Amino acid sequence: MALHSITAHGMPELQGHHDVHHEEHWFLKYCWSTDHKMIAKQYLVTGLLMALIGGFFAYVFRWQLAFPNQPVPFFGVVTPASYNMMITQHGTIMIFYVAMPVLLAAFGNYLIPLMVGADDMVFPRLNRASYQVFLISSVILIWSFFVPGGGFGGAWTAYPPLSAGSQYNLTPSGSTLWVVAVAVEFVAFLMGGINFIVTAMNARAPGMKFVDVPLAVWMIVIASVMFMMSVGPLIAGSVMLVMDQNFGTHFFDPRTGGDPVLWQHLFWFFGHPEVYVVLLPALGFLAEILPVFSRKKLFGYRTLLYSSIGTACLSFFVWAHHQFISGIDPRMANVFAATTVLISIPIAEIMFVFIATLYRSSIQFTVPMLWALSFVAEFLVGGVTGIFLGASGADIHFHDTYFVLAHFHYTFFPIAIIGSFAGLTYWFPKMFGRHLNEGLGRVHFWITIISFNFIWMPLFFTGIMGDHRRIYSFANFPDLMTPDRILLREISSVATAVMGIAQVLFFANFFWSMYKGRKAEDNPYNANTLEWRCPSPPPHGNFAVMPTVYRSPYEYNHPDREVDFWPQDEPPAGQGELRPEGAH
Amino acid sequence: MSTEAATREERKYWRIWAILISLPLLSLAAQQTGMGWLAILVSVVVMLTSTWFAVTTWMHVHLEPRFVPYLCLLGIAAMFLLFFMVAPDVMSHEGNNWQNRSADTPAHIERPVDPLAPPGAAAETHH
Amino acid sequence: MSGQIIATGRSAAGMPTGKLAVWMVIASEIPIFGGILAPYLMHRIGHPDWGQMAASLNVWIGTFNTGLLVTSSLFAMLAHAAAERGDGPLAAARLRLAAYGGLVFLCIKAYEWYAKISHDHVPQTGTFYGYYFSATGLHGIHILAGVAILLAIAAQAEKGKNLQRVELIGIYWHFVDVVWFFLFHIFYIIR
Repeated sequence: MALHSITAHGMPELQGHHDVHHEEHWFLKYCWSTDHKMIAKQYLVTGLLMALIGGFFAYVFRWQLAFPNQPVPFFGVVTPASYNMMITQHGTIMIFYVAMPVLLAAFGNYLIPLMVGADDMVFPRLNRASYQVFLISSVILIWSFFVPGGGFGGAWTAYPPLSAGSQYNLTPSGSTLWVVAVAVEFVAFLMGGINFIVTAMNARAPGMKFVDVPLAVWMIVIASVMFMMSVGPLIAGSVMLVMDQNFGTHFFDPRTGGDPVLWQHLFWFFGHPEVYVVLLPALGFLAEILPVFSRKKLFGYRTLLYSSIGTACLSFFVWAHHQFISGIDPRMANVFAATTVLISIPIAEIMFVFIATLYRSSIQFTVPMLWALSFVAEFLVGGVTGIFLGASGADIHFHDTYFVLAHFHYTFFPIAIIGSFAGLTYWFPKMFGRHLNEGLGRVHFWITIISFNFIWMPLFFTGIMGDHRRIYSFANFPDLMTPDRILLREISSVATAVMGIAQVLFFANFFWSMYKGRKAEDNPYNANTLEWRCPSPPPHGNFAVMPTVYRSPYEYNHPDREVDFWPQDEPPAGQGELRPEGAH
Repeated sequence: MSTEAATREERKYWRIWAILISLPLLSLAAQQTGMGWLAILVSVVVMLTSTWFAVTTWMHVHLEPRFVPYLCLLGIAAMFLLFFMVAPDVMSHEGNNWQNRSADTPAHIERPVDPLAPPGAAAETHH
Repeated sequence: MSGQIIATGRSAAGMPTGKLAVWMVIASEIPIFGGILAPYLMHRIGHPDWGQMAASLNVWIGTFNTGLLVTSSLFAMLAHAAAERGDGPLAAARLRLAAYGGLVFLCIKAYEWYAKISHDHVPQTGTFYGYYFSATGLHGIHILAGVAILLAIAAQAEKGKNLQRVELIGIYWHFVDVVWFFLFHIFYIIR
């Protein structure tokens, strides 16, 4: 206790500064704020806007694939160059500009200080700078679509020599801007990630031991450490690629002793841990949502935690399973196949923990719970098909087909979209002080989930039948224009359009509820974690009195209690009120 | 801290400085005398020793909580992993259905080959 | 932003927040420099012929620069000792000396680059030079940032403010030093 309430400089902690809050200019309030909640919303809004762009690209090229060379409604005829540009930017946007900012940055910023009982991030101005650098990188990326030659079209993995020479990719400035945008974004997330880790490590409320930290925080911190450890080689690789593109070096050019496979290694050394960097926060949201809506203690806190750390460590050993047919040493392929299959063990364990939490509980099918349950169901499909691809023998057949894409989207859609929606619908009352419309939320959920399965389930089959992912127009390949394949592709593309339209429901619900929704209570779900112990929405400084933590966050339906929840900061019975931190 | 203790501390820093200044001279000497493999050995030892001195006596890593050095070691371990898992591919010049002939005979091709570059842009002069 | 952030003053992990963050920065820098050195090493081992290009680097300038950085680090350390005694102006003076050391390092580096480029030892003429320019350039950016922060903290320390930051920039400055040990030996010494 004494240790925690003394600052680094030996000064006792002061009263929170929310009482000095006054009306600020809107620019200072919305664009120049150092408040972690406002920065989280900035990340969230930017991520959602980028998602609209990425989603629109997906609709356009999906339509081109189902109805080759016909004008796409609301777009026009898709040229090969714009097709390449759109698939590349769809991948880039959805991973680097939607999944990362929403799952990691927005929720990390919003949740970490609230959940660990702090008044803000430890470095608020660094936090603001992190968002601004991210915004600059988003602007560079969008700018790159409009430069002469168009946006970069060499796939989001940017393999050289295609990405390294403008004589191959025909986008002399677009490709450089793409690399620069991505590298600048990494710098932004490094700044943000260091802030997350330091906040969670150092700014925890008094009494909060390692096993009292909510798993959402744990997961974001583990993800940030993974990001920190894996992104360096790709930053170095980006420098090398930019030099290859513009200064005539030949790092990735075999003609002068360079090696194109080197880029693939540098990319995937980051790229594979990156999958887990965005997966873990989504799993953390589930660990919060499932116990709350099943009114039962989370089954196996430590199991979940250690499995996640195990996943994080193992994920550094699997990257070359993306490169099985790019000429890597076959003996290394064996090693990577083994580690890839191995990583399914901790992930399966995490899924079992979730299922065991649901076992014999009283489940409330609220909208966030629906999203959380659908995550478990859909991610299972993605995980199981991953084993096909992790085995190097099977992968030779599946490589670069739509089977890979279907697998990937069955993992990434649950992570990036379902995970975000689960988190967003769950924490919306806290963020905006109002409830989302439940009925509209359900309609949106069911349309999205059903159309998602109609998009990707058919593509497993076209993939097995041999549809290659890099084909711009199937009309050029008469062998691939059989009626059954065409039907499957059309189902998928129409479902994409349906899913896109269904998002109108979400945005309508989002903005309507923000202003007109039912007012939210401080703790509408009777949850335990600290963010529900401050007003909705939390003021500047978050807590009126800084909380002290007494127990783990998942004590639901405790036998000694009359109410079925037990907030983390409620003093144990009989012990009386300890003098709370910050009180005079 | 008393002034006397502070001066002692400062004198210690000067001693470390003297060591760190002379260590590179050692590897320079090893290189200049042309000892071949021994020179490489000496310079690796010097590199690691000076790093050790700087990290322990200047950065005071041993005074930090235990997780700090472990975190840095984790980063170094990741780099070793990168090196040893990538080296079999990058350092081998032939593999499954491919052969990197230009890497084997670099003398002939150690020049930029850029078909779209304007003539004269690529340096064509030898030294 | 008015008022003090409570979170910044806490130290649940047992060390001051700023110091923890500096170590986090260092831990995340290791993979960045490692990411350029590891590929260089595997290429270098695979290409003994790069030794000729390595021989064209001026090892005397490199050694002098090493000494310069070590001396600069020493002054950062002495500044820390002064800051621990609470002597802000002395700490500021020593920090400035450290910063000037970094600046002289950069000037010598610039001369070295100029000499290389004027001898047509440019990145285009060999992948070795590509690695050399990228790695020393990346390191140079860190020196530049370090100099800026050293001067900014010196300005604060002069007024006796934020003296704990003197140690923090020192840790970063030593790290940049350590990275240079590796670059110096790997590029200049080992042929």
